[in-house]
Formats: sequence, structure tokens, C-alpha cells
Amino acid sequence: MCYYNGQKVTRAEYIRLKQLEKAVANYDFLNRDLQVGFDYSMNAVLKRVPDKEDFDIVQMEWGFIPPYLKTREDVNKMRHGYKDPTGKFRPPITTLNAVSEEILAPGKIYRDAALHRRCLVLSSGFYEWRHIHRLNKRTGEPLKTAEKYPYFITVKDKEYFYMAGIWQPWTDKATGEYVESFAIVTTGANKLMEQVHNSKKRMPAILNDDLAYEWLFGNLEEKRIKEIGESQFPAEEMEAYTIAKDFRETLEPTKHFEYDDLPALQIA
Amino acid sequence: MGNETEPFELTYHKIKIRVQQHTVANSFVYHIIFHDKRQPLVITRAINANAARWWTSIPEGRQSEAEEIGSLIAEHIKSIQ
Repeated sequence: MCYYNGQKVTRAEYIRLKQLEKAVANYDFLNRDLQVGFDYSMNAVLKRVPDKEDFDIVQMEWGFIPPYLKTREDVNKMRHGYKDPTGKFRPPITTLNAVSEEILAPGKIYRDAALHRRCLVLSSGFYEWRHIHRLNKRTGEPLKTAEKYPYFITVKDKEYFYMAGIWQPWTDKATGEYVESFAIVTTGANKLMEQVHNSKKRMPAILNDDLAYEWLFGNLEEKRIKEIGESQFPAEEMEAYTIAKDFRETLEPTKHFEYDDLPALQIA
Repeated sequence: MGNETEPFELTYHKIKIRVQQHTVANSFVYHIIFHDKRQPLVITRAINANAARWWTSIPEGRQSEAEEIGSLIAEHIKSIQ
């Protein structure tokens, strides 16, 4: 006899439940509706099996942990900012995204990962905010503070698609905790994303099947790594629609929500 | 692995939850999303050593939620049959 969740079960039932655990582990993270940055959550990532044209689907922590950080406390300080011994506030450093044009620059924390540990981040869609500067009714000038509208962006006819990623193994020197973390590689916005993410005009480097294969398995020179990282997925193969402003708290965060006062996107 | 039914909503301790039934490895499992910040939960019906059916979380560790929400799901299923 064995025990599962405090109940005595037969060996056969125990094995069935353990098998179910493995299947559910895949299911649970592949079916997440919501992948929002800034919560440093676990995400599904395709990681190459060393020296083979094969991969594992694993969970990694979103938010690249640089190898020079020693403890989880250091990681939290980097991510959320902290006061140094003199009382001066050191602002947070965000490592959710790695700018493709800069990842290979000498001294960049991402360089070694871009050369040796590229991965593919599985996504069913992502979120960005469109900034609209309304006009001041009195002066007619654009207001300084923008109104923000959230969008959900997907690839047409694809349940899942790949974003270029880079990953880093890391061990907490205080506790021995081992973590694999990653950053999503970003590129300049295409015609659709220029309108949606209009404050920064950036987008994830979404890769078609051929580029994804090359990114994961290719023995690539620096020039090619940059080329793939900077590639732009065609705007006409993507779609974007507005969602509720409180989408993070709703049961269906990707549900379409119409804003009467929002100018339509110019479809690419 | 597939969706067997349309997802449905229940109220659990005054919190809305969304429940989706799936078939995984030839077993029914229920994937539960909470309307608060709680982590999603997966539960299933298992059989104990006395051949009695009981609800369990997958993986282990959230047994009380599994039992309570399992009972709500069983009531819901009965009510629509």
C-alpha cells in the first residue's frame, strides 16, 4: 500500500495518480491563459538536449537571473530596487526582455546565453498597452499623461507560437536552490505592433518554424544570431484586439472588450 | 487530452472559480482557476484502499481544497443531469 495526499491507496492507483501528475504538469502550464511579465512566473520553454537535435519542454522562471547574483535576496533587490547602505534608492533592473540589437555586445549579461543557451518560449498570446494622448479641452495640446488600453496579441491560426529566448542556470549560494531563468528576445515593432505598443515600438522576436529550429539547434555565428533575433514576424499574420483594463483580475483575461472612444488600428 | 465540457463557474467561499473538465491519461481531471490571486488547482477522483471514491489534488498538497471543490463540482454535475 502507498499513501497519496494522506489517503491509503493501492500501488496501481498510486502509479496512476503519479502518471497523472506528469501529464497534468504539462497541461497546467501549457494551458495558462495569462502570461504577464513583472510577476516573474514560471513559463513553458523549449530547451535543447545537449548535443542532440532534440528538446525538453521545461518550466523556467521569466526574468533572467545574472550569474553574478549570489542569493535570492540579491535577485529580489535587483528586480524591485533597494536602498543601499547610504540610504540611496537603487532602482530596479528588469531582465524580462533582452534587446536583440544589444544581446551580443561585449560585457552584456546576455552575451554568453545568446551564444550558448538559446531557447524557445512557448506562447499562446501576449499583452501590450497602447498609449493614447487625449487633447487638453482648453488648450488643444496633447495631455502629458496617456490613457492606456490593453491589447491581446496572437498569431493567426496558431494555438501556440515561439518567441526567441535565452536562458541561464543559476544556483542560490545560500540555499542551494537551482533555477533556470530566461529573457524573451525583443526586436523592433512591425506595422501592427508599432500601433499597439506605440510607447516603445518593440515586440518579441516571434519565430516561424524554420527560424525557431535554427535558433534552437543551429551552430550559429554572431551575425546570424543577431539576424534571427532582429527578425520581424509579419504583421499580416498577427492579430490584436482590446481586452478589459482589469484583465489580470478576470476569469477570462483574453476576452474581447470594446472601447467606444478608442480609434481603430490601421490594419497592416 | 481534451476539453470534455464547456467550462462552468461556481462559488467557493464567496470567490468565483472557473472549472474546466479535461481528459488526461484516460482520467477525468478538473482544472480550476480562482478569481483571486490563488494558484490554479487540478483535482481528480481517486479510489482509496477501501475502494471508496475521494477527491485529490494533482499534485499532492491541496487536499482540503480538492475535497471541498470536488463536492461542489459533483453537486453541479448532478444538478445539470
